[in-house]
Formats: sequence, structure tokens, C-alpha cells
Amino acid sequence: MLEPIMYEGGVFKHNLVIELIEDLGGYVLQTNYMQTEVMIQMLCPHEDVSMLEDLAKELRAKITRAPLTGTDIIVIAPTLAYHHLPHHSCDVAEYMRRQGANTTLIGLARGVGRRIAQISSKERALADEHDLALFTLGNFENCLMKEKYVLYKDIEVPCVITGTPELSTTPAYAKAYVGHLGRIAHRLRNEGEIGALDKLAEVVGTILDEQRLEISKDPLTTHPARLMKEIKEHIPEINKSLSPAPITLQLMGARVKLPYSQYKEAIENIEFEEGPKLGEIARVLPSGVRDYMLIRILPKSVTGFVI
Amino acid sequence: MKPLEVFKVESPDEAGAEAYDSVIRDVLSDLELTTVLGRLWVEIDPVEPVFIFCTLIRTGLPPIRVRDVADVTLGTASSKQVILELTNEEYVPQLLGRLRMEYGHENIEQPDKKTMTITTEEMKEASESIADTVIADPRKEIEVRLADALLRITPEGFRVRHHVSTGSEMLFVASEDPIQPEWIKRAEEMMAELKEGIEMEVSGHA
Repeated sequence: MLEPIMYEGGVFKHNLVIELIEDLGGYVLQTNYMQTEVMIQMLCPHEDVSMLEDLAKELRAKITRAPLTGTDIIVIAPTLAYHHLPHHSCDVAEYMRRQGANTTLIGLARGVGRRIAQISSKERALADEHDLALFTLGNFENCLMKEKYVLYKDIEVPCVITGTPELSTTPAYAKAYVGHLGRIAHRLRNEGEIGALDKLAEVVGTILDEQRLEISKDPLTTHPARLMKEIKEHIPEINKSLSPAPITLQLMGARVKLPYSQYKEAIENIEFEEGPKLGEIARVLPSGVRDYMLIRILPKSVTGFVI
Repeated sequence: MKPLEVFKVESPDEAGAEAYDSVIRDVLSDLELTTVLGRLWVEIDPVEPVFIFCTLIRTGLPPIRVRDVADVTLGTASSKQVILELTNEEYVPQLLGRLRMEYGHENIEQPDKKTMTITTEEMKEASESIADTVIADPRKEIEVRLADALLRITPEGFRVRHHVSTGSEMLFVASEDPIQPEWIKRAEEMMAELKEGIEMEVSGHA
């Protein structure tokens, strides 16, 4: 089993960490350089984590378990106006990022109000491309329980809602609700607010673990991280992408930040050393984000094998 | 009236009212309006749905004139200059703009940081009118900031708005449905209640 881990330390000798992970059969998912600091997200085999810990200690770096690593979360605010941003929505997105998730933050075109709240089919399709949708809503119980469900009732991925009141029941159509995270016009830094963010991360982690368990009942033909490694090896253009995560891992596949129209065939023709081509074990679809492509790995029940 | 001596945020939903209390405090402090408002009463009913905002603005902020920020003196008779010795540099951009508009760009000079000279034929008259010129009106600025604060505080979907604003008070009703006459009536009652104390205060002093 692969353990999701985040490494934070100096740039000095950090390549030793990357080499160690590759030698152990793990995967480096993302490397972010911040001047003299580096943050590496990786998947490390569970039994070898102690070796990584020893190396990190030697390099005076910090290692933490990041349960949301390798997941793609969309944070949805009713609009992009200053009522919701930057505090609350951005803080929630950033907190998910610190737990290892890749987050996308969007504001709906017409998500405001009660009776007038709407979501378009394009926005819904975009949400469905992710592993989980997080709606950052407002202050009133009546709105949360009786009106706002129209935004997420037709979304297929699990939806987590945040708002101010503590609700005894989860709003209809939502997977979970987290309170104390409604409309806030200051940076979330008070004790109760950080506590609410921690709870949100925990709730999201639990839901994603359930999803992982569900997937493991009919396992994917290959691990999304393996897919990422093969794409990086066969399509060198991906390294020219300026995005911090040119390949965004998801529970069921990945989003590749290359134009669909140009690279679809090249991606489908990637050959794994076990024999099959990528096109045989996964579907390559156009993504709703720009001209990117979305790869959905087929389960064992469809292909009949696991590599 | 002391700054925010009355600060009420009411709603049938208590948790919502508390959250709005915090939002309003944050927005007012971001826009530096806490000392400007004297009394504030907000009522929000999400079921109706209506948002009512009544406030009394603390008056007593006079317009800033040139004599408040500079000493106006006359230069020598041959120089034909009015000299301004700046005592407060906060309003220099507005002052320069105003003087250039009045006396022409070429007639205004600033030999050093705290001195300005205006060349004009009629020195005496000019020095008097310059001293009285209004260069900034903080009350107008406050109105702009208050309008901004209202838009930030009001729930975003409440786009049907009604407002009555005078120099010393602001009444604002917003909803996503057409404004009902009873909401305006309620707002007027709230405003009257807010004002009540003040009249008593005034009569008390008298």
C-alpha cells in the first residue's frame, strides 16, 4: 500500500529524497520550489516510510502524512464577488491544498440568492470531473436546508457543504455538512475557525477513503500514479507546461494539461511494458477545463487484468 | 453620539445574526467606518426574504479648507506671489490640483517640500479666496465608503434595493423579490426608533 506523504524542507540535497522514493517504488507527484524551500508530494510504500523519515531527519526537513494527496477537489463559491472571496472560499481551498489535494476554485455565474440560485450544466459537468465538490455557502439555516440544494442535487460526485449554523441533519442531496464556516469577512485564523477547517479536512478525508474503498472492490487496471509516470516518460512536452501540477491525479485517473485535440492519440498510444496500450485500459476524454484532457482508468471488471 | 453606541443585528435565525454581526464589524473596520457611524440597526429575515439596514451618521466633520492645512501669507509686492507654508501634508495632491485649476499650471511653484507659491496680479484678493477654498470634503468620501460597505454587507443575491440617504442618516432595504411596502414601513419605524434617543439627548442638554 502506498502512503501519501508531504515533504517540506530546504532545496539542498532534496534530490536524494526523490531518488530514494523512486528506488523504493513510490511516486513523486508534485514538486514545488519556493525560493530556498521545497515541498514534495509523494506516495511512499507503507513499510519504507521509516527510511524516508530517517533521511528527512538528516536533512532537517519535515514529513507529514497528507491524506488528501492524489485527489482533485473543486471548491465552489456562489460567485466570485468579495462576499465570498478571498476569505472563506480561498482559505478553504488553501487548507485542502495543505492536506495534499489539488484544488480548483470556481464561482458560479448565478449561484447567489435563494429562489434565484442556479447552476448551469457546464458548471455541473466541471464539478463532476473532480473527486469531490465542496460548496462554501452562507449563514442562514433556512437557506441551507430549503433552498440551496438546487446547486448540488444533480452533481454525481460527493458534495460537502459548509455554512455557519450547526445543523442536526445534513441538508438533502449533500454527503456531509460542516458548520462554523459560513460568510466570514476576515482571514480564518481564530481557534474555532481553524478547528472547523480541521474538521472539514477530516470529513473530506473520510469521504475520499470511502470512495477509495469502493474503488478497491473493483480495482482500477493501473494506479493513477503509474499512469502519470508513463505519461511523463513518453510525452516530454508535459514537462514544458508551466502549471504547478501538469498532471493532476484523481482517484479514478488524471487530468493532463495538454491540448486534447493534439495529444489524444499520442496519449492513447503510450505502451506499458506489460503490453497493453493506454487507450486499451483507460478512456481519454476532453476536460471542461480549457482544452485539457481527462483520463479515466477502466476497472478490472472491464479490462480483465490489473498491471 | 458616540461611535457605534447602538449596534444591533437581529434575525429570527440567531446563528445567522451572529455571523452577520461579525461580517458587519469586519467590513466597517476594513473601510474605516467605525468612528463614522453613530447608531446601527440591521434586521435580516431570510424567509421573507429581506435585509434592512438603518444607520445614523455622526456629523461634525467640516470640509477641509486651505487655511486648515497651510498658513497663507503675502510675498513681497514686486514678486506678486501668495505664499503657502504647509502645516499638514495630507491634502497636498488635492490642494495642488485645485490651485492649478484656478491659477494655471505655470503660476504654481513648489520651491521646497513645505512651501508653495502662487503668482498672481491681485495678491490680496487671491490670498483671501485661497484661504477659504475647500479642498476636500470628508463627508462625501464617507458617503462613497458607506455605499461600498452596504454592497459588501448585503447578501449578494439581494439585488432589488431601496434606499433613502441624507447627510446624517441612511436607510437601506434589499431583497431578491420586489420590495414590499411593509418592509419600507418597518425600516422607517426602525429609523424613527434609532433617532428617538438623540432627540431626548438634545432636549436633555437643553
